[in-house]
This record gives sequence, C-alpha cells and structure tokens, in this order.
Amino acid sequence: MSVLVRPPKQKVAYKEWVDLLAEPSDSIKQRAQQVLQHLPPPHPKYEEWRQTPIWNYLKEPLQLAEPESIKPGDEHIAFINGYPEVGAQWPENVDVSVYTRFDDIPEHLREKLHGLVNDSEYFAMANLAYSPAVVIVEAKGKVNEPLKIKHYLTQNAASFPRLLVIVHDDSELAIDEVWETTEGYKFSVFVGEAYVGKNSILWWSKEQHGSDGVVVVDYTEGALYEGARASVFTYTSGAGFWRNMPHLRMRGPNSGGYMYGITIAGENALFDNHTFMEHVSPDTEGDEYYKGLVDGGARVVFNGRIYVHQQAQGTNSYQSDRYIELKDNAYIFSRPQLEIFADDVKCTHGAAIGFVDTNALLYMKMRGIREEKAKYLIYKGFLGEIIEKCPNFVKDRWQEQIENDLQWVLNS
Amino acid sequence: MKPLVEIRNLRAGIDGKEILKGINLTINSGETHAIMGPNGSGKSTLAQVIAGHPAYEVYEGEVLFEGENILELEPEERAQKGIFLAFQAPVEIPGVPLLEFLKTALNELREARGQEPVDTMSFLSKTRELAKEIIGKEEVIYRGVNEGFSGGERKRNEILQMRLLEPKFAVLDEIDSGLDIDALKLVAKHINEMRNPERAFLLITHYYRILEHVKPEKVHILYDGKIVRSGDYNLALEVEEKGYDWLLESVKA
Repeated sequence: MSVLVRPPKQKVAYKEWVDLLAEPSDSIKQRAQQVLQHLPPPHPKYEEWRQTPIWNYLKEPLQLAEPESIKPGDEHIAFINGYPEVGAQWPENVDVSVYTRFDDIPEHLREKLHGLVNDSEYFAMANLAYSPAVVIVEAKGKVNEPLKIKHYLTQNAASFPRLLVIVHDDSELAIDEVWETTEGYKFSVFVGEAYVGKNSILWWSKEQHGSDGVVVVDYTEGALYEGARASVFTYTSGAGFWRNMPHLRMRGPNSGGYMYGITIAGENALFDNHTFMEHVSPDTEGDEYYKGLVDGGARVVFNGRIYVHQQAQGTNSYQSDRYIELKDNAYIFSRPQLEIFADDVKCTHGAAIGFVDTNALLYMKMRGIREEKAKYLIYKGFLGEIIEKCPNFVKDRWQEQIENDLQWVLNS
Repeated sequence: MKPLVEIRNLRAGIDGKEILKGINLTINSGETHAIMGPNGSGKSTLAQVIAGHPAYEVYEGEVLFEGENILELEPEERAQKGIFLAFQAPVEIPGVPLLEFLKTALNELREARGQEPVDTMSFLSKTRELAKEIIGKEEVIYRGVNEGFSGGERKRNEILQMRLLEPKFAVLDEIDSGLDIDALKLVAKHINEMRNPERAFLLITHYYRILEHVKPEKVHILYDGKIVRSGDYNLALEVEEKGYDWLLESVKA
C-alpha cells in the first residue's frame, strides 16, 4: 500500500507529501490531484498557519483509510473513516444522494462541488482528490427534525469525508454533526459546502470530541443568498488537534451569518477556530462569539477574519472571543482580522483572556461554597452564554456535555 | 449571655502595612453592635479579616467564634460555621444565576452541618417571595449574581442572601451606603426581624441613620486601628451631632 500522507521533509519537494495511489477514477479527482502536486503545503511561515504548527501533529506518514463495516447508530448519515453510509430514512423534505465518481454528479450540482473552496487550500484540495464519495443533501421546504450526521474515526489512517448541502429557496434545515474519535494517530479533512437559498435558514451544529493523536481539519463553507440566515455552532472539547475554518459568505442582501463556539481544551490539545465572515452584499449582518476554557499545556487559537467588500454598504458585523486560562502554561492566541472596504459599516471586535475572577471566587467562598464548586459554577456560567445562543436541538445536550467536561477540567 | 465572638488583641494589615492595631471586642449572642469611624480607620479591614479575606495578614491576636479560633480557617469554612459578611461592594458573577448560587451556598452550609439538601420547590418559593419583598422583583433570581444590578439592588441582594442563609453572626459592611430612605428602612426591618437570642450582628457604618432604625446595644468608635470609645446607642447620637473631631480631640487629650 502506498503512503498517502507524509510530512514535508527538509530538501524534499512538497509533492513528495502525496504519493498518488491508483489512477484517479474521474476527471475531477484527477485535476485535484494535479493541482495538489503544485500547491505548497501549509507551513508556519505562512500567516494562516503560524500559530498552528500542524506538522508537529502529522509527524508520521499515514495511509488512506479503507472501507470498514461498522454498525452506525441512529444518525441519518454516517461517515466511517470518511466513507459515507446513508441510513434507510431521513427527515421529510430532505433528499440525500451519494456519488463516488464526481464525474457522475448531475451538472447543476456538479458546478456547486468545490464551488466554495479556493483552489489554493491545500487540505481542501486533498479532500477533493481523495474523498471516497460526496454526500449531497437537498432540503426543499421546512425540515422539521435535524439531519443527524456522525463521523467515526476508528482507523489510524487518513480520511476525507465530504458533504454538499443545498438548502433551496424558502426552506429550513438543521444539521446536527457529531465527531466520535478513538485514541491513536489519525487524520481527517472534512469539507462541507452549503448553499443557502433565498429567505432560507440553515442551522449547523458541530460537536467535536477529540482524543490524543487525532488531527482534524474542518472546512465548513457557506454561501448565503438574499434574506438567508446561516449559523454554525461548534463545541470542541478534550484532546487532539482541531482546526475549524468556518467561512460564511453573505452573497445576497439582508442575509446574516452567525458563528458561536465553545472550546474546552485539555492538556496537549490544539484547538484553532479560524473563522471568516465575508460580507459581499449590502445590508448584511454577521455575529460571532467564541468562549473557552484552556488547560495547562493546551494551545488555543482564534483568528476571526471579517471581510467587507466595497459594495457591502450597511454591513453590521460583530466578533468577540473570551478565554479562561486554567493554569499558567495555557497558550491562547487571539487575533481579529478586519478588512473593510465599504464606508457605511458597523464592525466591532473584542477579545479577553484571563484567569478566573478571584473576586467572584472569594465572594462565593465567603458564602460557604467550596472552591471547586465555585469554579464549577463560574465556568458553567461563563460558557452558558454561548449555550443561550444555541438552537434547541443541541442546547440540553451541550449543557450536559459542559457539566461532563467540567468534571475533568476541575480534576486536572 | 454567652460570648459568640471574641476578638483579642487583633493586629492585622495588608502588604506589610498595619491597619488594625490591637482590637479587643466581645459580642454576645443576641446582641447587635455597631462600629463607626472615619474613613481609613480600619472598619472594612476588620470585616474582611473576620470573613477570611486572604489578602489580609494577621500579625497577632485571635478571633474566637463560639470559643474556637477561626483565623486559620478558609473563608468557606467560616461561612459554614455561620459567619456572614455583607459586602460593601458586592461582586458581579456573570452567568451564574442568583437562584443557583443561593441554593448551592445553602446546600454547602447544610452539608457541612450534616443536613440534607434543601427541598428545591420550597426553596424556590421562599426565594421568590423574599426577592420580591427585598429587591422588588422576583425575576432577578434568574439573572446572574448582581449582573446588571444597580448599587442599591446589590445591597438589597446582600440582605436577601443573609435572610436565606440565616447566619449566626452577620457582619454588615456599610450596608446603608447608597440606599435611599425607604430601602434603608427595609434593610433595618429585615435585620430586626432576624434578631434573636442566638444571633449577633456587627454593623459597620458611617452614618447614624441606619442605627436609628436598628438601635444597636453597643456602639464602638474605631480610629487608627483601635477602638477608642465604646458606649451605648447614645454614643452614636453624640457622633452624629458633634462629628468625629470632637471625639478624637477628647481621645488625644
């Protein structure tokens, strides 16, 4: 079996990183493989990856995951090491199709595949080149229950799950995506592209529980047309390397993009939320708020890019991120990146990093509350602000998840 | 009457600066004492040292509570024994709902005393009722502790907490500052309702007006870290009329 993933070594050409497997089965994948050979891999010398040294985590070569038969749970779509398995049923008003050969995708959908990812994105190109199949989800009308998607990473291998979502005009869809990983060295690149039609709504929750050795790069890309709303909610906890790159493009007037995130980073974790709000049309809105707890030895990166195009007058875009360091040696890097080319714009950003408020802690202790319980309440309250913004289908579950995560946070 | 709190030759300070220079004070169960004194005399330091603020250093002396020296105890252990400090500037704890905070605190106190957790429903109705009476609106119990509260609401919230936690010894640090006359009367009413032979209060104040409604058994004047004069309620009246200068002149003389 040839080696698929190999870190770039000194004096070794970048194209050595990817040894081609068999001949690609279709022209789209073939083109992607060719492009990939000429792309420089991410490197700390590039600003976008400076704080996120992925090659420290992708040290050893990995093989492409193989199909594996495991019994999925009650999700509608399971990605088992990147290979999709679609359940027998899915919610009403939803159509699901799977294509292993991208050439076979009907033309009106094929033009949307890789339509929101830039050709220069190295790992996204790797996904296009090596993804075993794309799952295409189409929603027409209001979908009353969330579409459940679950990723299983069981093999110590590289995997490339891929999803294309079309929310037609005047429709509403909620996606409830969960990652389940087991310990051990594994690498996954997810690409999810979503087109949200006129006056439509997309809710997308991403629940990511990491284990040591897991490296995940997540491209969640959205295009919003007139009056559309799209919200991305991320809950990342535990260990491993997670790089989330949600990118929402407000292409139609009066559209709105929202991103909210919780990170609870354990020792040795690297969690990077690299967000991108792109205001293309006039009178669009953006709001993002990320909060997290960062343990000693963990590294958390937040890079919030807001780009307001020249014609996007009347844009309102807000961004905020706050972190509590649990120990001295927590590493947190936060950077707003505002690029504004319109005049009539309201944009704000703010970041706060610090230790737990000792005055609040003392006040609680003076009421008889032991320190550990006081911290539990403070942390829960701190993250609760994000929970408040979450849709009902994850609210209770994530609240419970916070309570579970706080157990190890307080014991660490 | 038995002594509930005995402070013996207490010397304490912060960052190496001595503020309390030998305090002696005995408070019996059932009594209400007031401490008055000019700014910087050490009133709040005394309150914080009793409650266990870690920033203050004790150089000498003891604070006995029910005969036990509490100076080595953590703040939460002192609270569990029944000591309560109403803060001069109550702290905001965003995201922690007041109700959850109060219930956790009460259950911690109960657990330390070997009692069962409080019944949720009866605690809720009692808290709502008291919040409505003391703060004026019951929905505040679902807000973060002191989050968005006005100065007056924060002070009233201290009284709400005191009512629910039912301490044996309550130190109220300038509970009257920033309160209008109606709020002041309300605070005094609740203090008076809680007075009983088992409980004691220490009121720290600049002003006579709250004492008018509470009528403490004893009044002490603190100056430069020492109690320079003790008396009954009439001492407070005298200070109100003549100011501190008169008193300090007579002390120095």
